[in-house]
Amino acid sequence: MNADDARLIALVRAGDEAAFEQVVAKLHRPLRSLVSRFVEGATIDDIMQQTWLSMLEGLAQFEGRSRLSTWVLQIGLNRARQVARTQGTEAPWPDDEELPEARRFTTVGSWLSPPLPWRVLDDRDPEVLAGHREVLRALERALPRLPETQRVAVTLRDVEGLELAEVAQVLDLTEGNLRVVLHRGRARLRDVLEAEFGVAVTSERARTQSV
Amino acid sequence: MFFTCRQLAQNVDLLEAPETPALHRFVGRLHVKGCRGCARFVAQYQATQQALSKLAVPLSTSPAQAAQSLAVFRQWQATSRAP
Repeated sequence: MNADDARLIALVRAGDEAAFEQVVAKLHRPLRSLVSRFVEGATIDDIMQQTWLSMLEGLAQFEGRSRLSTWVLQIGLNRARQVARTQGTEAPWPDDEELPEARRFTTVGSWLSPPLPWRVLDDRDPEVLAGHREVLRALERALPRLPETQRVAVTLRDVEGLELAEVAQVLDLTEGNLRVVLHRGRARLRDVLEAEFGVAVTSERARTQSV
Repeated sequence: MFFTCRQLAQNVDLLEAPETPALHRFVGRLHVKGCRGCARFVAQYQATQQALSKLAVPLSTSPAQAAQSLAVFRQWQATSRAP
């Protein structure tokens, strides 16, 4: 726990409303972003409120072995997981042992089926893709379908930009294991975008030849 | 680490990582330069990551949400101070 966390926690415990508002302002975004990958609509707000209440009720026992943000994200994550299970939301994709791209190589490790070009991506300028509305919508749809650990890892690391160490703590993983989880999640999402925006090689050839 | 296409695709996060030895990074860059499939995979993988970072829309608390969380705080205070 850092000095800023310790100061805020002491103030909140003493009943300082402004300090609580500071905690909420600091953690609202990553918490909401995380919860919204598990549940929808008004349930998100319910879980947010339950998380704040659990945090306040647990403050007296909080020993500061992790950051305040890590602890609050874990509370929200556990609650969101429980609710998502009881609500019977769409089942995530299975968490295959095999890496998503594994079947695309020959036995000697060359591409058997190389990646298709995407109609929304200029290979020389990835920024063009990043701002594409259709792509963002496809990712919004795909993220909640990732296996839970991949979903949380990608949301906190790539969407919210949290440090690797903090994401590893939230998920109770080593940084090495988290890297593997992140790769699986990102590779799966790349696959989704390829399925949606990939252009068949024959039409790419035809296009190239017609230019 | 980056000799075959499979190795490169599976270690793509390490391609430009500071902890990757300079020689490995060099081999990786050389591979990508000469391999259309890997060049495309790397570009698409990195573009996916960049697009993910664009999903982080500003989610500041709305007045209603701020009021809800304050209500939680006041309720907690009232309960924790009750005899």
